[in-house]
Amino acid sequence: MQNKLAGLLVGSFVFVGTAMSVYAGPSKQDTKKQKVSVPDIPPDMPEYFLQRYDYFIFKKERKAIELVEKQLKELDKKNATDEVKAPLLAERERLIAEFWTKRDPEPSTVQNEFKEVVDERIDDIAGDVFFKSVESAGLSFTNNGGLHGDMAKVYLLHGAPTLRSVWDNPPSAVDLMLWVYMDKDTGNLRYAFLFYKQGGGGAFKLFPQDRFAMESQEYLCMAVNEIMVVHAVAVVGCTQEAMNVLRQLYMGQANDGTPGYYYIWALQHFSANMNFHQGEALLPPLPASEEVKRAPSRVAGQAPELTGVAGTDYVLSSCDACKSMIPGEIDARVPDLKLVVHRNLLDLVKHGDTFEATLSTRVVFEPNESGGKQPLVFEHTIRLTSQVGDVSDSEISISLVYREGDGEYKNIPAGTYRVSIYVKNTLTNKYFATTIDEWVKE
Amino acid sequence: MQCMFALALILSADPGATSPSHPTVDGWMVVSGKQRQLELRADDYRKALVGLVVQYQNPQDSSDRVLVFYRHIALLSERPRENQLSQDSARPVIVVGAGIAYHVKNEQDALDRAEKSMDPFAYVHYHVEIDPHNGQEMLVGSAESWLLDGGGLWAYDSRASLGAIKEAPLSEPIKVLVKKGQVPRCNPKHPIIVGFTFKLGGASHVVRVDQDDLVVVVTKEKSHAK
Repeated sequence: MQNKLAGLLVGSFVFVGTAMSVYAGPSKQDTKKQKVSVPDIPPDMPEYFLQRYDYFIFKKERKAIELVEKQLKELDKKNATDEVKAPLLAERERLIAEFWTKRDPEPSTVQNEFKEVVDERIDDIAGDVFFKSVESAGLSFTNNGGLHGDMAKVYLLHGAPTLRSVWDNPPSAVDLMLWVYMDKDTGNLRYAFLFYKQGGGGAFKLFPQDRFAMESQEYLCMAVNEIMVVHAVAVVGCTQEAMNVLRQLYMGQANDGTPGYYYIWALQHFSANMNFHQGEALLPPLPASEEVKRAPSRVAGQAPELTGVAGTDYVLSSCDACKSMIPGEIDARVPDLKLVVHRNLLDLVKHGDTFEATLSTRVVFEPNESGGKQPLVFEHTIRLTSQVGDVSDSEISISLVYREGDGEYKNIPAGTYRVSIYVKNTLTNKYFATTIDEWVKE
Repeated sequence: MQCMFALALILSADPGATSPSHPTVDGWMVVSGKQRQLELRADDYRKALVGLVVQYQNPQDSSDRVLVFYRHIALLSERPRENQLSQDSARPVIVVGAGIAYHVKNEQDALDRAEKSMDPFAYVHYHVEIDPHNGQEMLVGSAESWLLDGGGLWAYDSRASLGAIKEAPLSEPIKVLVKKGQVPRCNPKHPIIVGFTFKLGGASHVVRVDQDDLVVVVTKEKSHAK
C-alpha cells in the first residue's frame, strides 16, 4: 500500500518557491464549535435519535423530527399527560421507522444491515477500539470529541481505515494523523483523511484538504502554514518558516514509520481521484432506495397500466392463450408475407368513436446462403381501427413487407432467407412471433 | 414394452390433428425445486425473462407428473453494477451493493405481476418411478407432449422419452441504430439471442423479447463510456 502512495506522490510533490499574498484566516466552518451532547454517546432511543445518528440524517428528515420534538417540549412545559403526547410520540416513531426503512439494503429481510453497521461503529467508538492498537496506541475517540468529534465522524461514515498513522510532535508542526482508505476492488487509494491538532492541542480535527487542493506552491505553503505550531495568521504564500517546516516534514517520518511526504501529499490531496472531495465524503450516505436510482438499472417490458373501464374504454381479447400472445397465422405464399389475425383476438383501446390497436411489426430477412447479401429488417407501426360495438371475429390481413410502388419488397434480392417475424401490441405488449426457416424470393 | 413405444411414435404431431386434450393441473402440487425460468442472459447484468417451466405432481398419484411451459410478457432486467456508486462519487457507502437488493425486489414484483398473466404453451405428461440402482426418478411408459403453435392450435406427440419438445435459442442479426426516418439495417456479424424456439414435429412456438429493448441498453452503455 505504501508503494502505491509513494507512486501517487511522484510528480505531485513540488518543492516550493516564496510567493506571498494575503490570507483571510481560518474559515467560518473551522471555527464552528463542535456539538456537545449529553450523554456523549446517546442510547438507541427515540428521544436521542437525532444526536446518536446525527451524521446520517438529511436536513429534511431532521427538520420533520425537530418539529415534532419542539411540539413535545411545549406540551412538557404545560405538563401534558402521556395521552395527549401519544400522537406526537407515535409520529416521531413513524418518522424514525421511515428513516431506517429507506436505508435498509435488504428490504426482504427482518434485520436492517445498514443500522447494524452504524450501531456497530457507534459501539466501537464507545469502546475506544483504537486505544490498545499497536499502530496508534493511546488514540482515543473519547479524547477527540467523542461521538461528535471529527474522528468519530469519519469512522461512522467510512469505518476503520486501511492505514492509520499518527505523527506526534512532527518538526515545528502540530500533531498529525493520517487515515487512508484503499479501494477493496481496485487496490487503489480511495481517500486520505488528514487530521491535525489545530493550534497545537485539543482534539484531532479534520484538516480542510479541499481548501488547499490547488496544484500550486503557494497553496502548499498555505497548507503547511496551517499545521505549523507557530503559524502566521492572515498570511498566505511561501514564508521562509513554511519552507523550512516543509523540508523538515518531507525528511521526517511518523510514529509508525510512514514517510513524511505522505503527509505532505495529503495536505493538498484527498483522493487519487481528482473528482473526489473531502466535503462530499462527509455527507450523509444516500438511502439504499436512492442508490438504486443512481446506478443504471431497470426492469422494463411491463405493459402500461390500462385506465378506464374494461369493455367501455378498452377491450382485452379472451382466448385460451391470449394473456401474453396474439394468435395468428402467417400467409407466406410468395410473394406475399402477411399476418392474419382475428379481430376479436386483439386488445383494443377506445379513441373517440372507434376502438384501436397499434401493432409494431418487425421482419428480419437473413440470407440462408453466403454471397454478399446483407440481412434486411423492415419495421412498421400499424394502426387498426374498429367501430364501437363491432365484436366480429373477422380476419384481418396485415402486410409485413410493403409491395406498392417502390415498396420494400423489391429491395429484397432474390434468394433464400430465414425470416424472423415479431408483432407486438403496444397497448399490452402481447406479441406474435414466429420464424420461417426457408422463404424464397424469386 | 419396446413395441408399445414404437407404436406410440406413429401418432401425429401435426397441429390440429385429432389428438387427446392437453392435461390440466388444477389442484396439482408444484414439485419443489422443479421450476425453471425461461431467461436470456445478455451479459452479467442484463437478462430477459420470457416464461417459466413448472413440474406438477398429481396429489392422488405421486408418480403422475406434468411439465407445463408457460409464457408471459417479456421482461427486461438490468441490475446495477456493484461498483458504480463507489466509483462515481466520494459519498460514503455504508453497505456496498445496497441498490442491488432494491433492484431484485423490483424485478420480483414485476415478475409476480407478469406471472399472474401467463399462458401455458406446452405440456408433457408422464409417469416416473424410482430407479433402484441410483435412487433417481426415471420415466415409465411413454410421455405425451402438447405444443401450442403460433396460430393457437395444439400439436401432439407420444413417445418413450421426455425429449419430444425441442428447445433452441432464437437469434437475429442485431439491428444497427440509424437516425430517425432512415431504414434500419442489420449487422450480419453480430447476432443477438432474442428468445427460444420450441418445436414438436412440424409445429413451433416462439417466446422472445423485443430486440429493441436490449439495443437501447447497449446504446446507453456506450454513452456512459464517453
